[in-house]
Amino acid sequence: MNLSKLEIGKTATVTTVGGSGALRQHFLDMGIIPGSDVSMIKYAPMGDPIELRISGYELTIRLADAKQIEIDNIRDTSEVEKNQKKHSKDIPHPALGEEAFYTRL
Amino acid sequence: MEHKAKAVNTGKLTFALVGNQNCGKTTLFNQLTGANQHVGNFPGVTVDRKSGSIKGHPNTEVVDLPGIYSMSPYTSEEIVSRRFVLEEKPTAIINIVDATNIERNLYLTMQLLELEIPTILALNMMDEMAGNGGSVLINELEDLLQIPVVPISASKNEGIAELVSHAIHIAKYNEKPGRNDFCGKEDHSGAVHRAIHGVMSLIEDHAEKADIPIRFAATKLLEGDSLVEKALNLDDNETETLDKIVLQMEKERGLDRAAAMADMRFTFINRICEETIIKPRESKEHIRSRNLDRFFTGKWTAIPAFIGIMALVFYLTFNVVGSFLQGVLEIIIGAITDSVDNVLTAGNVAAPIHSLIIDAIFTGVGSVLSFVPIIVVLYFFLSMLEDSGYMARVAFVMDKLLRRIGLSGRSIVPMLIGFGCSVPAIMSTRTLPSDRDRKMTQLLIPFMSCSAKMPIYAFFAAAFFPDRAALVMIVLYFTGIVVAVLVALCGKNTKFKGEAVPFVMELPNYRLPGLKNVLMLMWDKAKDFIQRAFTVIFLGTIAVWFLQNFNFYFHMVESSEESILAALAGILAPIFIPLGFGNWKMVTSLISGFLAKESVVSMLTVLYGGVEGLRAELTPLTAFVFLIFCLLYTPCVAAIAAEKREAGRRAALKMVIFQCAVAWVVAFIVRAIGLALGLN
Repeated sequence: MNLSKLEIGKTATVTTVGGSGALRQHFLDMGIIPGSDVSMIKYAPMGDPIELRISGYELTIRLADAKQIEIDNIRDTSEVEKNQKKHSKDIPHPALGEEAFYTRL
Repeated sequence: MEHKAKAVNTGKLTFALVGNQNCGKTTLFNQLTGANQHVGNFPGVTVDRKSGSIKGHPNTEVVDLPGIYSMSPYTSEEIVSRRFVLEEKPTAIINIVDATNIERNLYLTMQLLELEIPTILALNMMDEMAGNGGSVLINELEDLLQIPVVPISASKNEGIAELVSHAIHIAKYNEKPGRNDFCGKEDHSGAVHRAIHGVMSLIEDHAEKADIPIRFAATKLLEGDSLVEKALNLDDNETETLDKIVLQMEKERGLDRAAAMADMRFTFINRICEETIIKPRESKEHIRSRNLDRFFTGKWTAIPAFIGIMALVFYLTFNVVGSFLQGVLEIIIGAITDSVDNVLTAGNVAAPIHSLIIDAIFTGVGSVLSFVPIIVVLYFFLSMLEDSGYMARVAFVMDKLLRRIGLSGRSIVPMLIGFGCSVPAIMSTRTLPSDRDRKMTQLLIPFMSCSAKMPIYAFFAAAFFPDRAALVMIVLYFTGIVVAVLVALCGKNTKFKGEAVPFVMELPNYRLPGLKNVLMLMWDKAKDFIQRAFTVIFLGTIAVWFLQNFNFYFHMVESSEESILAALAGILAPIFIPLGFGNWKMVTSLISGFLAKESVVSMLTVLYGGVEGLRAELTPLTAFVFLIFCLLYTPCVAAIAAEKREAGRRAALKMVIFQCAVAWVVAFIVRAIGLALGLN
């Protein structure tokens, strides 16, 4: 099934990234690679383009381009978010500008 | 880490500021350079080259590069960034990374590290991340990346001093990244790892000759980057070997080459994030954005919201603030003009020089300055909308509509602004993603009837169509849009063939625009306009003044009939006979419209002595045809100057000629239809 058919509120895993040239490379560079998860957020008011969520940010692409991306393993986005690992460690926040130890001045 | 006895850079230290879009790069640039900014041009493209020295360090230069997501450039702007980093060899790179979006941002970092240029990572928006319960283990991150990492908040101006001192340090001592090897030896039994190292040994001498860092060349070559392939100039044997390596990697990995390389990088990034990033709960900013978007991109609310916002911006710019400032400016200029006028009269200065100073120079300067309030106020609103993240939503919502005429959603705003004034509209096309989109939008903007033409319509409507004035105006505006659409459709298949830049765009979180950024941009644009438009408008004003006031013996004339302008109009008049107004008076007023659209009415009134004279000369049909011509022909000299600034002299000239041609053709058609229908 291709990405243009993913329903709102569902998450899927990318299997193949179709297309060619600069557009395809751009998809890969933005994080749409085989094995990554993509969630469908909404359609634009006129039906096109679509808004997706990938590795923590929102991306919009046209339906025609979404058709070139194959997906499977469809599940509910709400389920996925519940199961996301949460760190329990209590880590101090680095102060802004904290000395970068790598270069000792 | 010990300082080896390395050569110290004593010359000017140049820093390339590299990062994704929407990660606070402009804010950081402004914090680093303060008022020491200089705007130039990257050669060959209409992209601003913003550079400046770091505050307090005069022997440095920071160059703000267009936001990119990887070193495989996607738009003509991104190519600029790639070229700068590869060819101009900055001393160091400041890589700004948005901590709240770190996976995607690090993808670019991975590639920058392969360039073997001293690099420092500015981890921005750390305050936002902390505020949402997230954190980054900075020292561990530094260990993994082997470059200095400095947490900052550009908008709060925190961490900047430390960033500067570390950046200058690595630049001065030429401290390159400690590693550039990110392919896991054990990942997928090292398929990609072996391929990369195989290619590296293959191209070693070629890379050196082409002066490209070898690891970067290898990964790019494996990806299929044609620019690098061309630059390396491999012979046939080597190309064959390369192909074998690629095939082997693809077979082992089960992915094509580009996907395999992207996957390698993301695998490493995931490993980094697992070890060093404490992921926050869903951030407040994201929740807020999601809720706002329910309204701004909601199915039934998005377009009304957009119309409302644009209407508000228009109203505030042209009717309230902008017109207020314009009024103030007019009073000031008027006062100065009057006092100079009195001085000249008192000093008995000769009429030609008196007129030159008052009618030409002061009018010319005044007309240049009259645009500034509008530009400044409009850019205030535009940059607020852009910086807040709303413009991305506009592009998202309007894209489907504009794609039909071969443009992308982004082009709607410049075109709408054109209904107010073409000058800032043309200036605002600079934010469009591709050269093609820019040129095409610039071509269409003048067809959006600007507000300066309103007086012409109003005047004629009152004179010839008194009970149907509103209808006439609506028809005119509508005609303008229709012609623009037709021109776009024609252009789509001919001169502007090829897709608009495919629409892949990030929707950043909404955020409060930085006032400092907005004000700096306003100042930039105003300065830019005055510097560039001044000569063109000024010379145009003097030229028309001369033609209008002198005859061929270079004497001043009493009535316009004897002027050179009238003679010229007489020569051009026959062109307009098929349109029904082939007389020198009408043509003269058309020529004066070249300077400012408002002049058309004043010129007509002078030449015909009033409305009655005009009504005697023209029939209603001819009047309407004349209005059509006014709607579509060359924009005023200020708009031409703006176009020259954005696209060059030839483009500006083409615009003038094209518009006049279209105007003539459409006017002719309208007249023909009118005559055929028996109207008069």
